[in-house]
Amino acid sequence: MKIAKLIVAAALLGGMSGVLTSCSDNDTPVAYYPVNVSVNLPEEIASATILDEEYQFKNVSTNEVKTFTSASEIELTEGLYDVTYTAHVRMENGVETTMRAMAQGVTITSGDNEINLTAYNTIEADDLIIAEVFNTGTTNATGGQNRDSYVKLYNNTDKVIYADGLSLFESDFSTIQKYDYDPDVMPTHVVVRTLFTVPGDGTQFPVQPGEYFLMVDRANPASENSFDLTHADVEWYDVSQVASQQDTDNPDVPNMDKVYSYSRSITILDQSQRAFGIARLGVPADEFLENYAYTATYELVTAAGSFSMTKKDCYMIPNEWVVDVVNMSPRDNYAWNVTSPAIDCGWSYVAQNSSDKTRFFKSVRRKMLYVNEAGNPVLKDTNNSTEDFNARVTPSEIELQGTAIDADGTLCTTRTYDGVTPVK
Amino acid sequence: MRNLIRYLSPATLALTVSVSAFGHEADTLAVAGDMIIERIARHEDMMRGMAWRSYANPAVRQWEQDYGYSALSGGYGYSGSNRAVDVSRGTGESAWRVAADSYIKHKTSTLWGSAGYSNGRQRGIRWNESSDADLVYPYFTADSIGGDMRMETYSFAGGYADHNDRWAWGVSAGYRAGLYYRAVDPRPRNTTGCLDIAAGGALRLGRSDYQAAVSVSFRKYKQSCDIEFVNELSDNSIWHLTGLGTHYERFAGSGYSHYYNGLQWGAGVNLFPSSRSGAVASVQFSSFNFDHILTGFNRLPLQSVTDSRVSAQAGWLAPGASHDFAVTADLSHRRRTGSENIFGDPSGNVYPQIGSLALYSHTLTEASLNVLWQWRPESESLLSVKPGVGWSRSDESYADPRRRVLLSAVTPGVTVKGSRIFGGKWHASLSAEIACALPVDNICELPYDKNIPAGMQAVDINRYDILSKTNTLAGVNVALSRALNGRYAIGVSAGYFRHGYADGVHSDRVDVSASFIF
Repeated sequence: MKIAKLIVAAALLGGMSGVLTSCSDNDTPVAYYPVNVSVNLPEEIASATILDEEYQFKNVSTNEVKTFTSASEIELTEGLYDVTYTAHVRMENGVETTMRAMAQGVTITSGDNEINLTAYNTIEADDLIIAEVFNTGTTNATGGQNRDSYVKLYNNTDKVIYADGLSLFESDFSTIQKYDYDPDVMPTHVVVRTLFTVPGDGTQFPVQPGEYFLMVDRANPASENSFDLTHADVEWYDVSQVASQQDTDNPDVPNMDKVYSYSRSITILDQSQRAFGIARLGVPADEFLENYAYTATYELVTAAGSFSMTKKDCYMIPNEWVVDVVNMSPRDNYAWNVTSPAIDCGWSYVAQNSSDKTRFFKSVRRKMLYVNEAGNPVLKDTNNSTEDFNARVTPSEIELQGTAIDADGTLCTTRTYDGVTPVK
Repeated sequence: MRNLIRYLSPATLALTVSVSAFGHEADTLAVAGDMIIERIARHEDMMRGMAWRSYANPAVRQWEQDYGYSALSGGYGYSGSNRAVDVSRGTGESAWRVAADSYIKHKTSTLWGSAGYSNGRQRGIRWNESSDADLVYPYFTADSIGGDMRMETYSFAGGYADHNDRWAWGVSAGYRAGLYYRAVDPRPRNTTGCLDIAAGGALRLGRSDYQAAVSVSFRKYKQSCDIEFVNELSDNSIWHLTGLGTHYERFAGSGYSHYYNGLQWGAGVNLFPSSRSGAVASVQFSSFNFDHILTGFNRLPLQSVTDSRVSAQAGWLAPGASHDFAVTADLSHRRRTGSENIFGDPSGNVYPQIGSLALYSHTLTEASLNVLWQWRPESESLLSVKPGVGWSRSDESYADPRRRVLLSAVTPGVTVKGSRIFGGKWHASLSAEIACALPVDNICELPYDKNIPAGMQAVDINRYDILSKTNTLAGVNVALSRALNGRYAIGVSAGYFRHGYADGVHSDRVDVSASFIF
């Protein structure tokens, strides 16, 4: 009987090891699928020679970036990607330029993947550029907002530029909520909800090479945790229809002309989920308001179902009028760019997420490339805000005036060109 | 949680009281003549635990022991290390607990039950705000701050088995609930619930005492998690980890409310001698699947896991009058595959799923061989020696970008235990164990990624750094019981264990408890 038991035990042990050895490691490799990318070149450089090109695929899920230098070698895993195409080209007249294309939210699946990109020639800026957006402002010790936001422009050229007629705008679309608007005008226009224009006859506001032009919400003197803005060039004063929320007007600082604002009270730029830009309107303001209104429909999809919505009370600016723009979004909530990649291929941020209360005392500042022979900083301008701006840095006015960098009143002791590069 | 307590407490009490009440009468009938001090001695006999896998089948558990044994106990446990081996599990924990356990024989029937409550603190957890880490890994939701976590756990379980000359059957059920929270930022609040149900049947083979048994089991698991930051100026960034220092970038900073929802099915076959003498064998298979779901994105299924496990044990039990002998071989193979779902452009807050990538895998294979020899120089003394050797191989990998951690070791060890009854009223035991894990083959491929927080990546690098080197475990346990009369006894026990790693890293564990045994 004992021998029989031993045989049973041995058989069981043998069977058991057989079961286990059949379960060997077999790591399944991740499948890569070929992707065909077609780039439609702009008409003016269709016959240009491509010197080099780069296809960049950023996996939206993982943030992993894969770069290819030839369209024939692109293979990707399944996923959702943001695609950026950059090429250096030489035109027939010998001029070399940079061409870019971008597509967001491209789905790569196990089937055939075809991507069509429309490239844009990157036109060298010959106007003012946005050097800094400080939209969040500062707060006092009790948490109240000081309303000291500003936008700082910069003359990155070697000639005098006049800010007269330059308009500051805020996009209507949010960078954290993506909808399929119908009609979709984004390839050709920026839809805005706020528009203020620098007054003047064309010679009133000269900006010298290497100089800044400061546009502020309120040109107020320094206060608790805030800094002096009475030296601002212009302010966007807004006549409010709400008695409890009135703007302040510094009579010594010229007011910008209000073309349009969605707000019935004062205009603030605190929300860090819009695109901010500057443009030169190609038509008078009244004609713009009459002919460039934008109305669209879109589907609001919720857990409770889909609802047809209408967007109105906003206007559209043609891309060719846009001088510069920076898309901004809370870092963790970014959904899409609300302008065409022809004018901005990237985005920047001051807030880490939608409820980030540490966004105050932070701005985005354009990166400095070098200091030229005249001693002026030369700022980076590639129409890609991700690459061009330093995100979430100390605002320049706080550095210049050595004021508070937080609600506790800690004073700023640093001085930089761009929030990162120290002034020597 | 008050509701949970309201429901659990009466159930726990009812179970404990009913089992205990049943036990008073049943013990008298079934094991008349067994003095409590003798039952304590038999309960500490190491032979009982050698075929432990077989007792997962409730039909077989009726032959785990042939005497009734019940205990009400309370105790305190502490563990702590000077450096966390795995910071996502913390540096240690301390908790006090109360528990009731009962195992009752009545004619051919067997009834068992248990209930327990513990309250304490898990310390020094970083890069993980989820609970039940061994169940839901690698898909933790994490922040860079972490800290201690308060915990309360409740559990109750019970089972019934019976047999006749040819057939045997049994059922068991258990429920475990937990509440884990922190009162300072970041403030996770996790509630866990785990329901286990099993049923088994056995057929007597001919006229032998061998039982061929089968069993099926089912588990329902859910963990709901909420993270809150009260201080508006604190860093409230959170990440949804994907294993080996990676995370799901797209939903970083969002998904403060999430949950894990899982099911497990299992089946097993056993060969077990009802006399507990002869060959034992057990093969079990289980498959556990769960989804990790972000509540705020219309219940977005972010990740899912399939965990399949096959385990087996075979051995020989040879109890004798003055010498006992047993040998068992254990093998288990487990493969966990984690998939990340890919989502397209959202419409509002609704994300359409466009694909799924199986990126994480963990294969864990373990084998061990244990031998037990016991000697009774006289009827009231017992000396046990259990040498053994184990082998383990843990292979974790992430497919893209490629990351891998392989840890394998051979662990020889020995446990020596001596026990004795003094004067018919006292029972004392002293045991000591020592084991040493010797690395066999280790691989660490964790390239640094500048886009991922350094602390997140350091978790697995540090874990590898510690576990890839020789480490030793040593411990002692002492227990003392005194019979109050023929049916009741009280007992105390204390244990101390020290795990020493390279570079001065060590962890200590202390357990003390007091029991009322009947």
